Amino acid sequence: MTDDDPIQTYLMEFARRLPSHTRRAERAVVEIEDHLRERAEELCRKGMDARAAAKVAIEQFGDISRILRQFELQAPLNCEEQPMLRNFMTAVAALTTLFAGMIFVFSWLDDAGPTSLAAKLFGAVVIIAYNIVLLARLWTRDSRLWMRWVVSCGGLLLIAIGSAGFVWTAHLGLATGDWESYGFVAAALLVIEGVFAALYGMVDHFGVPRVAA
Amino acid sequence: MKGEALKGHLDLLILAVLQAGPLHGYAAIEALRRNSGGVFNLPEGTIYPALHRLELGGLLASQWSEHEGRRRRVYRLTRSGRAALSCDIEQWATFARAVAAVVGATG
Repeated sequence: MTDDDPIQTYLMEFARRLPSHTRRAERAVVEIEDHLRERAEELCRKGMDARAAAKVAIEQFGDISRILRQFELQAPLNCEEQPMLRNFMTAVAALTTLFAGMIFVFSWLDDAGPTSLAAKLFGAVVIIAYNIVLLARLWTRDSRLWMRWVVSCGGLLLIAIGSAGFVWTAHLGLATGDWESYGFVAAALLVIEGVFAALYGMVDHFGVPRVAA
Repeated sequence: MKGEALKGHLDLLILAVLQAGPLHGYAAIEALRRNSGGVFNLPEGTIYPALHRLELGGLLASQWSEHEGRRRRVYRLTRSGRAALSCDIEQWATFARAVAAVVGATG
């Protein structure tokens, strides 16, 4: 299909190279397609054949790198340009995955009741699944709508789980005198990851404009 | 005239062509070319980053419309955009007068 349609090929290349995949970027692709098709139609009306018209429309549209650079200057925060943020979030996600994995494994050895076991296993699976989605978003250019929402809402959920874990660990400590430091560390990690992930997901979706160039 | 020569003036020109009424990107660049008598013939794609930037700055607002089965984004000036345009026109007139005076004096 794209071999016969230079505009489609151009748009695919444009979309692939856009600095981010926010709604604004998606909108730009729709606008550019409308522009190119309208120009090509106008050239066709003047007697040019469809393929040649599409090529001229693309040529008149301008150098793709230059236009992308201008979009880039106003693009929202994205992973590719924020390696420290990406590495930090990856490290935190790795640690929470490790804790979740430990909970998953050691829950079987725990002598707690089946309800407690199920809750722990469910929590561990949710955290691990969430971290897989988060890491996929951080390390690939894939930014589908559901991923952005999962990252944002999941981040808020992690804050809630982490806060609850913090309170619960403190409650147990006060009640039994057994202060489980790993519980506090895990809770703190969940809250930290949740805060950053929620903010990241929201910025990813809504975008934050840079200062105009 | 190439895009480089318009650097710094593109925002003013876009606001000016939208003063007549809402336009989509293609129509805006056509109006720019037509109103300048073909002098401002910049690469068409450069208008979209500028339109987005102006909208982010609150000077333009936009909405989708449908034309022959295709979606298109139509831009219009906001109240802030009109105010900015008035201000820019005044500054441009001052600048143009000053340039003309200097060029005239030396020529």
